[in-house]
Amino acid sequence: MAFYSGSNGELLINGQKAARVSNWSVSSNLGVLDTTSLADTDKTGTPGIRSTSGSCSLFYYSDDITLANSASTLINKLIKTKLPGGAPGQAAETELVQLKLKVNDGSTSGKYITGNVYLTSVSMTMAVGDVLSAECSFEFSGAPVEVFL
Amino acid sequence: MSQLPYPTLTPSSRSIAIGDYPIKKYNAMDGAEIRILYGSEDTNATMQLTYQNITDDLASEFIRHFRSTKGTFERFPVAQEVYDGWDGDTTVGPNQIFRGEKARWRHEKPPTIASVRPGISTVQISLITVL
Repeated sequence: MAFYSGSNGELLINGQKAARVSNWSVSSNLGVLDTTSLADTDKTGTPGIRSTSGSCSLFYYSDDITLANSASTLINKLIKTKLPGGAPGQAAETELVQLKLKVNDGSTSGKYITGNVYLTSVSMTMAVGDVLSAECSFEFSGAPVEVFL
Repeated sequence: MSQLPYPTLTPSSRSIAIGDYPIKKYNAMDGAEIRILYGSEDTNATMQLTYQNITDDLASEFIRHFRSTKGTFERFPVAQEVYDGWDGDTTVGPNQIFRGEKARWRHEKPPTIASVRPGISTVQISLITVL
């Protein structure tokens, strides 16, 4: 029997381990369709559409050697610049990104949920006394690709 | 195709507008109103039924039934399940919600079927009574 904590957590962005992740969360929901009919006394239902979404926080950190910045990678999937010569309201499409939310349980593969997601929000706040970080929210597009939890 | 029985499924909602007696109204030049009763029974009651989130197989029964009644052409009795949840009389007595066994329904318009998710649909039926 083992408990897991933040030190066992990991986030992979398109297969690459993200650096300086402070937290991630994932939530899966099922919409139940109402099938209650006249003369019923209690609500009945049938499974509807599932949805999975989550969030993560990453410090805005650049690796000295590789210059990789995981927060920047995610930010750039959502925020796009205006197309050259295009209208002010036209920019490139938001990119799909594969996230793997992983729990290192001591096994080779660990426990994980992997899916193709769209970043739905990214926020960053620069403040005196705080380390710059990015708060990201995402929503799975389709069912998770792999689930091993 | 012979007429199929109305599907024996309890609706998730039912709305009934009671029919009226056939009446003609005349106004005299002095403004007096004269009403003439042309029938002994109320008629043209309407009923809207919603079958929410049912399987596509069950939804297909309503399509088959509609076609078997030649659309809005033929009359038919509805299944008793249509009145589930109604404690008043349905065929006799002062609380009856339609005109006895004489009443027959016909489709007022074709059923509408909204697909909710794969395999699940919501069906809406509009019926009108004819004596």
